[in-house]
Amino acid sequence: MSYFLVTLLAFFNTLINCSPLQVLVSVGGIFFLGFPVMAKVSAYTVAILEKSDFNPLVAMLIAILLTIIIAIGFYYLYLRVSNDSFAVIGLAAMLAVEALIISWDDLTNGLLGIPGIPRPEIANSIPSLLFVTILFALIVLVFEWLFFQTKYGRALRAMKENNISVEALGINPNKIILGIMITMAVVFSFSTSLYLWRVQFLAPSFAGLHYLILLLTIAIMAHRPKVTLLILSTVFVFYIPELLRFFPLPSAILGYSRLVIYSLLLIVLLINLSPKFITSSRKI
Amino acid sequence: MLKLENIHVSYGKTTILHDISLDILPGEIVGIIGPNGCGKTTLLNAVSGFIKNSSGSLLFNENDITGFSAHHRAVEGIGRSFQQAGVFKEMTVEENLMLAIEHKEKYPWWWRFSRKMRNQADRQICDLLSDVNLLGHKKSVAGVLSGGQLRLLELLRLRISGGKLLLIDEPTAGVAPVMRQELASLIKSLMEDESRSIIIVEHDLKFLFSLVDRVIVLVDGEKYIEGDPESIKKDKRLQEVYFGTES
Repeated sequence: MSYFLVTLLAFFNTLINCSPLQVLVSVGGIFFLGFPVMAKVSAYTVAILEKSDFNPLVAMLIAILLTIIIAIGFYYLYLRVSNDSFAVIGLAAMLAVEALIISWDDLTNGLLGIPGIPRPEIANSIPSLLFVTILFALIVLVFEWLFFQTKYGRALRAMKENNISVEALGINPNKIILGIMITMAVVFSFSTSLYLWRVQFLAPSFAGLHYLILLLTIAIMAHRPKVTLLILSTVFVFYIPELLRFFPLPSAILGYSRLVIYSLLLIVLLINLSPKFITSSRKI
Repeated sequence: MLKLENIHVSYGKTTILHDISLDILPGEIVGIIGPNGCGKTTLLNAVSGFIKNSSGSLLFNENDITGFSAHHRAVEGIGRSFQQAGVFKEMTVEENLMLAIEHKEKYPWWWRFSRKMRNQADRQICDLLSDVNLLGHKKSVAGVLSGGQLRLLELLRLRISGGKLLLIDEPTAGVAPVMRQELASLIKSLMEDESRSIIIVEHDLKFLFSLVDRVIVLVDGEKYIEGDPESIKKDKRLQEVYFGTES
């Protein structure tokens, strides 16, 4: 029962994270790989503040503000570089933040991580945490569905094909991107807090390459502006490797087998979808 | 309507447009011609704001729009179509037009949930598509349309969002000859609708001369000849531009 609840929690957490990624990366065609930075900074902010006796909800709010500032920073970089360079910058930022976390021992406890992160009153047990997570997931998915129905959702789809033509219609594409990035920051901060309250421990490896590949695989698989496709992709990518647990594989292999599956899946998806995927054009 | 004063455009150290001054009157159709690389599309890009002019100024309806971004100029009323049709091919024909309507009319974000507004937009889309015999393709993905149909769709979008000045770049590129008459009628109707001004860049001189009130010939980024279509046709310098001089 506990295994079932915990995987369900992890599933909804992943689903929440993938929602803004589906919007920005898959539907909008902006190859933003800096999202683990948002997750890392948000997680460490919550963990450090909670360990300093801040109220968990206040800590989460401060983390949201900090992550929004990071999102705005990435937005300004997006305005100044090409889509390809933006992807590289995102990846470099992730590695830089990871190195900073490991080396800033006094603040982050370095490689040992931060244990014993307290849960807030509203989510002090796994069932109540699951309830909050599902509720938030529903809010995020409804919001995403609504977004796809609006003129901004249509404009984002059009931007993936031809940014210049969108501007010629009198639409400011940058405003839409900024809005999505800020929303992404809020969603990531909230879901990161939910994750911390579940595991009550934060390791410096959190939101690393494994996390990036998992979320990116799901987001790219859900390459059409459909919330149902996101849910199906998350079920597929999240639960298929979960089945490996029931095979008698040595634990040393089992740990890496997920990453191998996700990476192979990502390669297959990019080969098959990339012409549709990274088509954002700035040419006239 | 549009006044260009001493416009210079450069890419790095290469100057593409030299000291271009131009006046476009309300309701006027002006054709821009010239050999490849003479700066025709660059001129449209400079007017629509997709590239910045290194010096000179642009006045639109007596407002200085020199520092305006491309989307800001579009909002002010400068519409633009592109050499390679700027239609969104992965979206349906209906969605292509919807995008123009909802932004032009400043519909609220929730408008798709209002039956009244949905019907109103749907009627508008059906009327526009009927005019160019594309109603049967309303729900089709735009990518399945032929080159000519894509042009018609782009011009319909321009009709919706275009504003008072339309910049049309090579409308006949990739269009079968049988569709050119339909394109010409649509371009004329764009002008007659709201007394819009139009600047067309075009290589098909016969097509262009049948539409425009005035022709400007650009050579090496400079205004070389200017006049009405009849006088330009007779001007020997035009033949020199296209066929060179007898040596």
